[in-house]
Amino acid sequence: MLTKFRNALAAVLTTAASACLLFLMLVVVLDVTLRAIEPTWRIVGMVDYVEFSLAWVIYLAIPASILTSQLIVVDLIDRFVPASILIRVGLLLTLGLVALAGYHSITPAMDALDWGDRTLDLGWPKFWYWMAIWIGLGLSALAALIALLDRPEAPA
Amino acid sequence: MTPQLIGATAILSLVVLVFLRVPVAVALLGVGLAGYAAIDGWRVALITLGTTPFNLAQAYSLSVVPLFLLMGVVAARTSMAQELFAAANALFAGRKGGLAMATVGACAGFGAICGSSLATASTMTRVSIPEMRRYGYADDVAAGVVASGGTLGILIPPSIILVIYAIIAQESVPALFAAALFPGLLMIALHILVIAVMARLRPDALPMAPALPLGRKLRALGQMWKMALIFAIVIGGIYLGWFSPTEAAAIGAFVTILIGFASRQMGLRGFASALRETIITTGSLFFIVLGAFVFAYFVVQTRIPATLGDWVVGLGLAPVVVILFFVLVYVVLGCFLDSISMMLITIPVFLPIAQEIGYSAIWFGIFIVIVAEIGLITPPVGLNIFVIRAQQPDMALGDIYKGIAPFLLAHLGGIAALIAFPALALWLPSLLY
Repeated sequence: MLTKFRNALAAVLTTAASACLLFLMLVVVLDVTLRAIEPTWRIVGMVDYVEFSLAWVIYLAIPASILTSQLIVVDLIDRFVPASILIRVGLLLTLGLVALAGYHSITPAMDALDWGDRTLDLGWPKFWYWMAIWIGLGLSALAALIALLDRPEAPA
Repeated sequence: MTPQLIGATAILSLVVLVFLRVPVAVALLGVGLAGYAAIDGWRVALITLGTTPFNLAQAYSLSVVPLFLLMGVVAARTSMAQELFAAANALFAGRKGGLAMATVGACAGFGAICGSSLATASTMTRVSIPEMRRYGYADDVAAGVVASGGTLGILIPPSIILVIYAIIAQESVPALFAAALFPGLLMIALHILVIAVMARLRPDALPMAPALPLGRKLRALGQMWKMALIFAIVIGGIYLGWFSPTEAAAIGAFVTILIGFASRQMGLRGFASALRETIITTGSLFFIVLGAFVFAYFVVQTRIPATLGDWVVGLGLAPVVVILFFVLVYVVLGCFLDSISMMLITIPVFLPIAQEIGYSAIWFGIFIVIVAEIGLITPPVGLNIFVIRAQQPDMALGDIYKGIAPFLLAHLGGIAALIAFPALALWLPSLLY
């Protein structure tokens, strides 16, 4: 049951992150194409589009890589100590640190909201970027917890 | 406890945690946080931890990483590698060791658009090892050529590892790509030289494949138009000033996808799988970058780089001795850590020292990448070795290690040339920028 949920969540996250990546790619291609046709035709706010979609790509991809057990590790010690114990320790640390990072991102995010911080080009509230971070770090903590409760050594 | 002592303890803890199988990203994040707290207190450390994810979310220049990854993953799902190998083989056929030389050429060409050593080694294992075996090449030679040739992918631009280095070292991506060009070509030449010498010493292990008639040669060369087109668009576009690196990466990925669909070598299912692979790799890479950001902030607080730099300068050692010491450290670390982790862990400490003794950040980036290449083919964590072994399970691991040994000379030769002639890396960027 948990493994099914883990697989389903990983699929949803990779699909959502893929959509953001495709948007990033297509909006850049469209901008370049328009400029090639007529130099004055350009999509206003390209930096904002790229950064915003990249933020979602990153923060949806991190929990997906935790769920699929694809974080980069050095596994030399596996032959001396049971891997499952070390994997659990690693997941516990992952859970603790991403939860801590998520919790301590609340204050700067609320500050950005209170002060009305906005992006330069499109004037988007910077708080929207913090939403990607919160969701990403929250999902990363959830992903580490699921991997911890599920068979941690088995990739989803 | 002085900040320097805290720093040294933290770096040691980082190494221990990584060897205890803690994910590299988590080890960097945890040690960076704890070390920062030990120096400036928990309040400041936790504020840094809370704000760093935003710095990552607004790193425009990092957008090239998932786009180049996508380009490479899609390219690996088409027949571009086979076509490139056929073209390189057409050029070298009729020479002793020609197939091995063709493999090196194909590895470099494929690595140029793929940007990943592992993907290059994996693809070329499927493409060229069966061909070399068919012509009677010794297993150790076939495996050694692919393992070592595969590493050329991280140096030939566009290179993902160079993009990440550029972000951390705050250097220009196009300048680093330009700097990598001649060292990359030199590495190719050194690999071909090693093969030529091996073909003389062990003619039975590197037999000659029959030469091709001119018509077939031209046809084979013509087949590599897809690869040439993508490379021309991406690299040509950057240097002709048409595109920024992000635009070049987006256009490169888009054109590669179009070619994949138009040539019917990739369907929707294959595309979805390529996207999934790109996202998972992006996640694991960016998590490490997040950890590296926190770790780098901490290292700055320790003032270790400045202290070490002053100490090294005070010792009056020749700069080259310090650089040789770095080579030793990287070769040892490269045996255990993957290239990007190794780079992210060491840059905050080593780069300021290198700059202190007179080396530019651009040169140091190329130096790190060439040294990191060695780590990909040295036991026990030589990832390229495992990629080959996974796909050719009947090859003995000992044969693969034996095959790699001669190519270590090519890598060491490349490092020596870069140290002796820094202009190899610095001349082209100085001309262009």
